[in-house]
Amino acid sequence: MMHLCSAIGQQNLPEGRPAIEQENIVSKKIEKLGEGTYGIVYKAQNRETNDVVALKRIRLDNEEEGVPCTAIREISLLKELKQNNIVRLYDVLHTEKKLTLVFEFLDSDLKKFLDTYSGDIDVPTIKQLMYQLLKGIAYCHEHRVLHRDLKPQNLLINKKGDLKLGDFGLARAFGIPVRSYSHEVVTLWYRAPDVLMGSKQYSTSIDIWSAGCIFAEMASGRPLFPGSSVKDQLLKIFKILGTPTEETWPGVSRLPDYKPDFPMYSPIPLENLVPKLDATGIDLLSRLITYIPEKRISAEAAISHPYFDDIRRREASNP
Amino acid sequence: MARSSVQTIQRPNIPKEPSRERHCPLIPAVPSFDTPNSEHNMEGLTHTVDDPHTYMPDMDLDVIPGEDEYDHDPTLVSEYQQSIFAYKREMEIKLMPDPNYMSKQSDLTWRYRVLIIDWLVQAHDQFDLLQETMHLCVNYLDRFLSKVIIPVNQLQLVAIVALLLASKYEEIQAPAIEALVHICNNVYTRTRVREAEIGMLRALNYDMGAPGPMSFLRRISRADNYDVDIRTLAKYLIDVTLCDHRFIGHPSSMIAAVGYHTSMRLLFRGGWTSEHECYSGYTELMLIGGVNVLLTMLEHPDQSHQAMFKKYQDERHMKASDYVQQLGLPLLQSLQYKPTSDTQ
Repeated sequence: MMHLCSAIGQQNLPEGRPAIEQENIVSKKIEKLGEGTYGIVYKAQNRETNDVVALKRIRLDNEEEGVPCTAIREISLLKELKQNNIVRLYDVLHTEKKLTLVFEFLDSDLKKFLDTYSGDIDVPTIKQLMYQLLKGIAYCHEHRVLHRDLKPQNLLINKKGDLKLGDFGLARAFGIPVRSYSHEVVTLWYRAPDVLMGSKQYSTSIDIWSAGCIFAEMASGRPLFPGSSVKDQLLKIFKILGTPTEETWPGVSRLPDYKPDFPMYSPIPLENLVPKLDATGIDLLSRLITYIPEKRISAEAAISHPYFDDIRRREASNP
Repeated sequence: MARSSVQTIQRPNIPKEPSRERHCPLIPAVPSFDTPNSEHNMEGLTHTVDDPHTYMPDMDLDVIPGEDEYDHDPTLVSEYQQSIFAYKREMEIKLMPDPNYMSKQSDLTWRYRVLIIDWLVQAHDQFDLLQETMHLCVNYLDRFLSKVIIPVNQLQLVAIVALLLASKYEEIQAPAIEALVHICNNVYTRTRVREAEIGMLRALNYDMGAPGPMSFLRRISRADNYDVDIRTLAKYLIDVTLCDHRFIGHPSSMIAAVGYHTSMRLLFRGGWTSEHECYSGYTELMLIGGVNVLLTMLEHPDQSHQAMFKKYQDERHMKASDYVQQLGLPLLQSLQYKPTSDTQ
């Protein structure tokens, strides 16, 4: 009866006492870093080892519905995902009043990194970051996990140039065949056109579209499709890739929010938008932001794209 | 379910002898449906983790039909199928309850488990939740009871918390705690449910991603070109396994194969071929013990799985349980126990 009743028995204890003691052993707070999908993130230091960690704290006392499903999924999924390009979850501290997730700490994220350099990142760095992003995504997909919220803010980086996927608050495990899931996913600018048009039958390709948008943003220094509403988001995409039709995207007119009177635009060459990318880079980008979800390249295939030939060669020579 | 509501499973045309096919060379021909107490067979299961490839035959063999659909349907995530199924085979073993947990419980008996699952089936149906959610819920319930000793009067609390957590993990929208408290006649307060939720998360170590049988079922179904009747009936049979403790401690992939095999027998669709072996990862010999337990349960639905039986009498489930009781089971029994000429 240990857990069930100990949880019930703690109801009348002075507020949060056991937990605070426990947490003080583990860490002291240093500074507030920001807010995730849910909860506040702090930088903290382990008192025994001096290791710096990130703490994500979720208050439970105002949660009518108990532990948020975002937290349950993030903890459970991150416990399974152990790879160099995915942020490591070290521990979970839990009381009735709050839930604290202890994460590996990284200095920065891609958003801050882009801001710091005003979007002017050198080509080898872009390639290195993109390669790591795709490796992290491939690992998730191989372990039946969709991230569903890839954007520069959620890609953590450190001074060594490591990139790691963070904030799995919107992630979920998928079955085969993939069922319908909520279409309220992914920050607007990085949301795939099929999802924007109301498709709930998305799959791994939803994360690939986001990766494509991030790739272009790293190369050009500004967001590829900075829409202000779902409608505006679609128009921003159409103005660059051309308005999709039944010819270019069979089945598009059957998507729930497709409108036959979408304004018609012709595609413009991607070279004009991201002059920094060479021909293989442009080819990879075009495969990542392909309209037809099932034709969009997989993360696995993208890692093997000629664009990354030199990285793979280097990896092979000094593993 | 994909069909119209009037659809029911039809009477089989020609009952035929199960054909004897060669064994898939990639699968070791060891008998394996273990009874929960069998030490020997638990070793067999551990083997799966050590060497998944003996159980996970290469799916890209070109002799296997149905490959085309996988190339074109994005929901089947063809490029990751192999790694995902290999991973699920690993996880289903890691997140398995202890099949003997009842010996540790002081207040409970297996009969209480039958009753609480019967009640959960109705609650689950009332909230219109997914089949995956029910399997996840029972996995949480059994894993929790494998670790925590509880008095009888808390069993229902544990059950709704398992249902709540399974819904939060699997569904787009989980039932409100208020609604769950209501179906328990307000015996537990909402605060108590929230506290018990934390207790269960901790007992389960936050490992909520136990693979259920549905993806495995879909995969075996490739061997019959995704035959809807076999799969629909198998869904009922797979759900029936939730109601008997003898199925605890068996991986979901095996439960799916047992359900599918039993479905084929009740529909008289021939024998377990090498393709069934390859797609399921199990030989007929490994399944036969489970199939027999399942067939015995089907003889007494009122004792073994009353609510499940009732649920599957509905037209949206193609009256699967009615078919079993009225046609499938009597016909199978007449074929097995009487001379073959003596069919009614």
